[in-house]
Amino acid sequence: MIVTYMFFGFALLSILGALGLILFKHPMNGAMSFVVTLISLAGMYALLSAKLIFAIQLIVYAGAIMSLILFIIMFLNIQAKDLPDEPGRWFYLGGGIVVISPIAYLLLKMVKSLPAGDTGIIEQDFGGVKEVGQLLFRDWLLPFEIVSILLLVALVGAVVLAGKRGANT
Amino acid sequence: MLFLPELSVLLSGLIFFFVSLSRPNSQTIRNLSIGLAAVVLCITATSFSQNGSLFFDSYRIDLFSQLFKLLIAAATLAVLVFSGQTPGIKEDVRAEYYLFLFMGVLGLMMLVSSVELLSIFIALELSSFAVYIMVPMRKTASNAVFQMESGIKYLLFGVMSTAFMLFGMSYLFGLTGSTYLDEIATSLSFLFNQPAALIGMLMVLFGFFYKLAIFPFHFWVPDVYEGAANETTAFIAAVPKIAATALLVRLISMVSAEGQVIVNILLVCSIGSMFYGNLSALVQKDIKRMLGFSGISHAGFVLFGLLTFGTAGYATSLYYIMGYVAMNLACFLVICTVAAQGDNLQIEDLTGLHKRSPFLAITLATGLFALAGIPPFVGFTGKFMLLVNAFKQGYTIPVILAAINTAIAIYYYLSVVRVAYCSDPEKDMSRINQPWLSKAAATILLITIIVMGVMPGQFLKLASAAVSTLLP
Repeated sequence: MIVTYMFFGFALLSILGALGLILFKHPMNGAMSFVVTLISLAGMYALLSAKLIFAIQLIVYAGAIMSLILFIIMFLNIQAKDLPDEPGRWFYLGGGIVVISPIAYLLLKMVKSLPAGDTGIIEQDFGGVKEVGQLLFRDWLLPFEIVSILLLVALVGAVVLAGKRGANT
Repeated sequence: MLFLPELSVLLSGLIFFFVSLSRPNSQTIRNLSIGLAAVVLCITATSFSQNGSLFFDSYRIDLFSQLFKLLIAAATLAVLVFSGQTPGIKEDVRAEYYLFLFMGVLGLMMLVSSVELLSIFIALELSSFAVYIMVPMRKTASNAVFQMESGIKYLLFGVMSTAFMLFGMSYLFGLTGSTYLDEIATSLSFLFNQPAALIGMLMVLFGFFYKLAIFPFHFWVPDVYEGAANETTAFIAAVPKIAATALLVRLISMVSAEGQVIVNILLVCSIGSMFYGNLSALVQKDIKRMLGFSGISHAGFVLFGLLTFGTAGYATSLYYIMGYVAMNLACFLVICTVAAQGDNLQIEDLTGLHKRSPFLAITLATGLFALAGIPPFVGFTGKFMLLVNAFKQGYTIPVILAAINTAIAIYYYLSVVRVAYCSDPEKDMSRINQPWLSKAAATILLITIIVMGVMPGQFLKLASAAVSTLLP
């Protein structure tokens, strides 16, 4: 029972954080509310007994990546006058909501039709380092290996795009 | 040995990684790229008849995947051959450009063989990211300088559609408990009228609609086509679409015709992209933009063929995309050769092309006639068989709408041909030098377009054989 309440709590928090990310004007506020989303997602992983993913989510996403983003935002020193002026912002937001509402209606209908899953007790070792490792290196070996190439592409791409400014001046 | 084509592409990419560490001249890089692409094509051709599965059955090698790999390798080689010295790309990053190109090809090759959701996703990401970076690598000196803007647009739309796809995959996984397409298909056959399965499936399909530029996911096309360098556009317009069609065939064959809602939605997408693409193409001045919009309408035709749900329909779609790639590459060959400095071409820049280079003019005319669907070229045969198939299935009104679209399309294709042939250049324009390699590529493309159009039997047989490996 308490698990259900916790789930709804985390879900609400993560949605609020995501809303904050897109609605706050200043990037710093947006980044901070994104941290809320990341941490509540970590909470959901913990509710699913995914220990390792919980830890990784906290350390890598909420910890490392967000501090990197915050560092960059502070480095850029964004003042209120640097922020873009968005006069039609609420208008577009309202228009978007109107456009999306039929889809949301369909999604709601879908959620209602979902069969009630049985929440059985999972095995003792679920979500541990060893189990995740075995899954990753056996069943999902191919995606794991392609990710290394993807990272190479992203790395070289970042260098190519960032090196641009120096080359031109 | 089963993995040899992919390994050769990977190796080619890594060779360019090491080449990029030094500063070679662009002629060396270009020769190297053509050589490596030719080697990749040969290796893919030799492993054509292989069969098997790898990596705990998440990677399947069969006639279907090998046929698509061969197409991808051939199209890549064609793009590399006619893009010349890649005049549209910045000089200092040409080696990296080829690195991304080969990595993109690697992702696409893996995509057509993957039969497991996670592998599909990662392979798609690999191919997309490589191409996202290729767009802003255009030289700033060209007359259009919004390559950064189009790169960002491409990235943002791409990420959005990937998010849709991942969300859909999570639904499929949650409903069926498996990420393998075979097991999902088995479970879905009981579930496909459930709204959750429907939405999951649609969202996964939307990810590939984006790649193929089908109607509600086409917004990136005109700006990216215009903003990217000519050779990059040629690559984007041909190679990823082959792989996206392969995956669409794989996924749509999991849905049966009884799922009426999904069929209706796909039908609307298909007819919508035909009308949107053709009507917007009518008013375009930039030839790459025009070809982009025409690509949207052709993607609609490909999807239309898939909706007939059967070996014949899938095989015709496969045949159609093969033909589309050939015709499209023929047009881009002309664009890349005429725009020797890598600038964007307006349609009026082609004025009097038949005097400047008769062979290029013939290539352009054949490509455009084929795209318009005029016999005896492949575009006609493909469209004809698609519509006949759909008509037999009882899609009367959609067939009529598609036929109307063919008529609309003839106008804008032929007006380009008219400019190239029937009007004389106002200012004196020099003849265009075409290197022999590019001439050879053009000849091969022309022969392909005509032979596929006149004698479709063998190609259709091959396509049906490939498709029948997918269907139970």
